[in-house]
Amino acid sequence: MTGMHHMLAHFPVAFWALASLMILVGVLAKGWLADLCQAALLPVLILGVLGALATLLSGYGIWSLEALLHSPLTRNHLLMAFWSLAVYLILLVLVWVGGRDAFSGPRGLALVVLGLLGTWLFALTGTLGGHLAGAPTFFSALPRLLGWELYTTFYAPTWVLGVMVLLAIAAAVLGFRRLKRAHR
Amino acid sequence: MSDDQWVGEHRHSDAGRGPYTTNWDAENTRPQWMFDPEATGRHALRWEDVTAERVDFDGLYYLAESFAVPFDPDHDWQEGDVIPRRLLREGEGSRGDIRVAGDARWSDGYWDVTLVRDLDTGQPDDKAFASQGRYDLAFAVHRNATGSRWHYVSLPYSLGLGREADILASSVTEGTPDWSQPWFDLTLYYPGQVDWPLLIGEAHAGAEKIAAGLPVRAHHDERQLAHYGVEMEFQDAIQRQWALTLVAGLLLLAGLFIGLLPAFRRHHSGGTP
Repeated sequence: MTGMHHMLAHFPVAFWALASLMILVGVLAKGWLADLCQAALLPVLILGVLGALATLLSGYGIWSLEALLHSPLTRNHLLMAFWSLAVYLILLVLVWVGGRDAFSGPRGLALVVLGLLGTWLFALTGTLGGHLAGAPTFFSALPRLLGWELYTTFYAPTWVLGVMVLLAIAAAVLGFRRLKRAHR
Repeated sequence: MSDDQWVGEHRHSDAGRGPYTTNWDAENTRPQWMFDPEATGRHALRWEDVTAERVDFDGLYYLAESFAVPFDPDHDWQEGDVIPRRLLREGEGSRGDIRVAGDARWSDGYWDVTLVRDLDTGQPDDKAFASQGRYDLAFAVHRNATGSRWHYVSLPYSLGLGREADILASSVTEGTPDWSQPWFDLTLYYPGQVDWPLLIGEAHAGAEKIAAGLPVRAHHDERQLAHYGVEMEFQDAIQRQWALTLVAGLLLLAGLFIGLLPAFRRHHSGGTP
C-alpha cells in the first residue's frame, strides 16, 4: 500500500497546484487564458479532490492507526492533508456555485486567498510525506524558518482553539443570515 | 569512580562487588559507617557546607572504605551533621574491570576522565576486543547523579581497532596515550521515556525494521529522535491537543465556507453563464 499511496499522492499535488495557478490566472489576468482557466477550473478541482480522497484512503493502509497517531510526522501529515482537502473542497463548491462570477470582485479575492492557503497546506503535506518516505526536501527549511520544527506535533493552545471556534460560529451565523435574506 | 554495568530491561551489574554500597543499617535505622576521625579529623560533613557547595576536588566530600569506621551511635551528634548515603570502595570481580586512570576532574565546563579496561578481561560477561576487530558501541552521559532517568545517549557508532570504522582506535605500545590525536565529535540527545516494548510494538511504525535488524540511522537522526523523545513523554496530552486543533481548523474552514457561500450563490442565480 506504501507504493500505491506514493503514486496516488501525485494526482492531488498536480491537480491542486494546477488549480491554484488557474485561480491566479483566472482572477488576476484577462483575455483568452483567463477565460480558459475560469472555464476549466471546476473539472481540475473535482479531479484533485477525487485524487486526494483516494490518496487519503490508501494512506490508512500503510501503518496501523496506533502507529499513525504516535508519530509527530504522521500526525502533522494527517492534519495538513485534512486541511488541504477541506480548502480545495470549499474551492470546488464555491466555483461550482459561483460559475464565472466567482472570479470577479471580492469573490475572486476569496478564491485567491483560499488557493494560496491550499497551496501552502498541500506543499506541507507533501513535504511531511517526503520525510516519512525518507526523502525530505529543502522546502522543510521554510516552516522551520517560520518557527515550526516539523519533527514536533503541530497544535494550537486551547485559547487559540477557542478563538478559532468562535470565528467559525461568527462566520457561519453571518452566512446563514445572508442566505436567509437572499431567500426573502 | 567507575562501574561495569549493562542495560537490559533495566540497569544490571556485572558479577562481582560494585564500587559503592548503601551506607544504611536498616535493622537499627542508622548509618553503618561514618568518617574515621583519626584519619579525617571529623565524624561527618556539615549540611550547610554541602548545600552551599563548599566542596572541591581536594576537600572531603565523599565517604570511602579507606577512611570509614563503623558508625558510633554514642558520639555527640549535632544538628546539621550529615553522612553520605554511599560508601565508596574498590570494585572486585568482573564489575571492577573498568577503572579510572589518574584523577577525574571537572574544569571549564567539561569532565576530564580517562577510563581504562583490558582488551580482554577474561570475564564471560564482558566483550573481548582484539586487534583488527570492529565493534558497535554507543555512549550515554547521565547527569545530576542519577543512574537511569535524564540521561543523554548517542546513536550507535563503530569502533575499529586498527581498521576502518567511525572511530579509529590506534595502538599504544608504551606508557599512556598523550591524547594529541583529533577529537571525535559525537552528538548526544535526550531519548525520552521510550521503552523497548513500544519500539517493537504496534505503536511504532518502524517495528518491522527493527525486527529485520535495520540500523536506526537509516530512518532517524539525533535531531529527530531528540524531539520524538520529548513528545513521547507527553504523548497523550499532545495527541489530544493535536486532535482538537485538527477539528477546530476544519470547523473554522466550514464556518468560512458558510460565510462565503451567499456571496457566490447570489451572483450565480443572477446570472452570467
